[in-house]
Amino acid sequence: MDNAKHEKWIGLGLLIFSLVWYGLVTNFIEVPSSVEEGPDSRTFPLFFGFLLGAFSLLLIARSIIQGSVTKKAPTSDEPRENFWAEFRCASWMLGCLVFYGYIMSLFGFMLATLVSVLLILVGALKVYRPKQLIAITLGISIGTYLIFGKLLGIYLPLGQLLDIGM
Amino acid sequence: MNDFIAASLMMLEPASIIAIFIGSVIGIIFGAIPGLTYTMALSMVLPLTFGISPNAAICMLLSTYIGGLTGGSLTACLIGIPGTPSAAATVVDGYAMVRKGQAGLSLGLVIMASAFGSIFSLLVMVFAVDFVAKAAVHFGPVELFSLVLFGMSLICGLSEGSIVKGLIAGTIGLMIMTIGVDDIEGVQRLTFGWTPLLQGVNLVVAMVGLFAVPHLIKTLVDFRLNKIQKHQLNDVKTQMPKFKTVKDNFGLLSYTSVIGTVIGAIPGTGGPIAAFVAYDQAKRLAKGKAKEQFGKGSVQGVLAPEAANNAVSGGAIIPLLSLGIPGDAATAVILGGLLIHGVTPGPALFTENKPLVYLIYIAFFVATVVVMLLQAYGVKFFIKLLKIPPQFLMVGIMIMCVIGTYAIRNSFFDVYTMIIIGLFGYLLLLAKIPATPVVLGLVLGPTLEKEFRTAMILSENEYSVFFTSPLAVTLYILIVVFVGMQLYADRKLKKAALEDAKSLPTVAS
Repeated sequence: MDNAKHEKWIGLGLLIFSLVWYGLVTNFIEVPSSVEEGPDSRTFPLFFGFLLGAFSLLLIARSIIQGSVTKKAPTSDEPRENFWAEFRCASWMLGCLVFYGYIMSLFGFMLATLVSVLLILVGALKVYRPKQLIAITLGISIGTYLIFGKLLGIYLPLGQLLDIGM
Repeated sequence: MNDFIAASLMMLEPASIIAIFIGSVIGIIFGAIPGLTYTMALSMVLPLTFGISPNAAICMLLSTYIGGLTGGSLTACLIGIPGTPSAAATVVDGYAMVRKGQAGLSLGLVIMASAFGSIFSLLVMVFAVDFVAKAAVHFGPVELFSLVLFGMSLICGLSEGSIVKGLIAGTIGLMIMTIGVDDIEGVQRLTFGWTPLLQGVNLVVAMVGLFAVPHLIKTLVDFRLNKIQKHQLNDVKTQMPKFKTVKDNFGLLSYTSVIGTVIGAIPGTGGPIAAFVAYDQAKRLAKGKAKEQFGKGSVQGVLAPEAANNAVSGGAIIPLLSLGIPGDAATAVILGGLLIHGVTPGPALFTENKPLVYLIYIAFFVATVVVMLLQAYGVKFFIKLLKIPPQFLMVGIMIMCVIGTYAIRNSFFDVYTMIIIGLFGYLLLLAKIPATPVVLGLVLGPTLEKEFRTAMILSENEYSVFFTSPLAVTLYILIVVFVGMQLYADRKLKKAALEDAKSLPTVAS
């Protein structure tokens, strides 16, 4: 997809977002009856939504004016493959973060960190050598516990279901 | 004098000294590793300061900032890749010196120039902050609104190529910060009944999401696509420059430090601009053989950009401390940190908490010295760290992201918010919309709205009140001029790019 088309889609996406924002602000922000005139609690959210809409239109207009002065078109499927690879990696990483947060709430910091680090090393980074796996997993887990929990005094979550007391 | 002594005693507390050391190390590491930035370091370090005293927290944040500014030059010299954008100008001659077998001297020049620039800007900062803060005592909501608007308009400078996208980013930041309870009317705005959202989107959560999460995704993508570069790094012993070198280049160091300080004080600009302007100036001022050496390992080619990019630190803190307006994304994080620890920058700080102001000055100086010593004697340690594959560092950063955001309010809601914002940050990256203006919007948005509405309430809803202040009118004119200049420059660049594109063979779509 060339640059102009790319920008057109981005502009369109942002325009839709600004319209959704407008709908949310008008429906979910109540203005107290005591406010008679002048700016109220809706004014700035509405104004910013309007600004976003205006800039999105500007982006779309600019992409149309620039037209499709194309650069050399890709001759292979590499960009499409990269797109799916990026999509998978993004899903993986975000999924790992959600998983890490969720099991930390259930089982506490130490267990969650051990499991999550192991999962990433094996699943994402393809580390299979047992010694390397154990060394990195334990090193990162215990290291972060000592630095955050002991040295910096940060409260590390205990689990709701299981708490190994660290 | 009593205030200064009180500040010195605060600095001598073990927690403050340890905080400076830890912050300096973290800053240098994040600065040195390409792909990580000192803004990211500050976002990660900020939640880690919640367990320590405000004094130690301030020391840690400042030292992370200074360490990060300097750390980028390590890799700039050793492998020809700047760790941070600010170090890009140092690559030219710093790496050339390494290729000539002068790695130790190259590092020594970087360390010395960085310390010079930081201390020079500190001296300017001490006088300028006081002066600006005294002037700002007379500022009312109209003046503050126009100042913040001026700061927001400089988003154009942070837009990395597309002003429209920069403005979009800034607007998104402003929109996000309206979520929560309205300070003036107490109305809930877009909280959907969720209690955690009553306080709005936490600034630290947003920053970790915007800077760290996209980096994690990108590292994994690079790893999977085999794009991770392996760097050849040999052990180096730092060789500090002789006194004669410093004496001969004292004028250049001072001049480029002035450049860095002034550029740093202008919100929206920063290290990269200062470094390249300084390099250009140094080249113009050089004569004869010295001029020919530029690009081939010139001593001045290393000293000039390094002094300037570090002098930015003091300059950026001038508007931060005196007016509460951050000079760049990093100082925006520092501002967030100060606010979280109950320190409100601005004129009132100088009357109500002078010892804290002195503590900031002293911490700045001590951090500069500590960073200098760490780099001089600890370069082997940093080189070892640089050899760690980025994909393994990614795992550590992932843990810091989750722990850091959890530590803000001991709430997993913040962790999940960070992930959502991280996804959003990644989409911004794909859309080539810069994240830094979003941060500016997040930080300045509440002040912008508050001062506007306060001015309206005090003037009984007369919009003309915004044109009654000479300072405000001057700033509006400057906004128009500045935005106009940026648009013109942007248009010229786009026109040139379009001409280049037209000359390429057109393929039928």
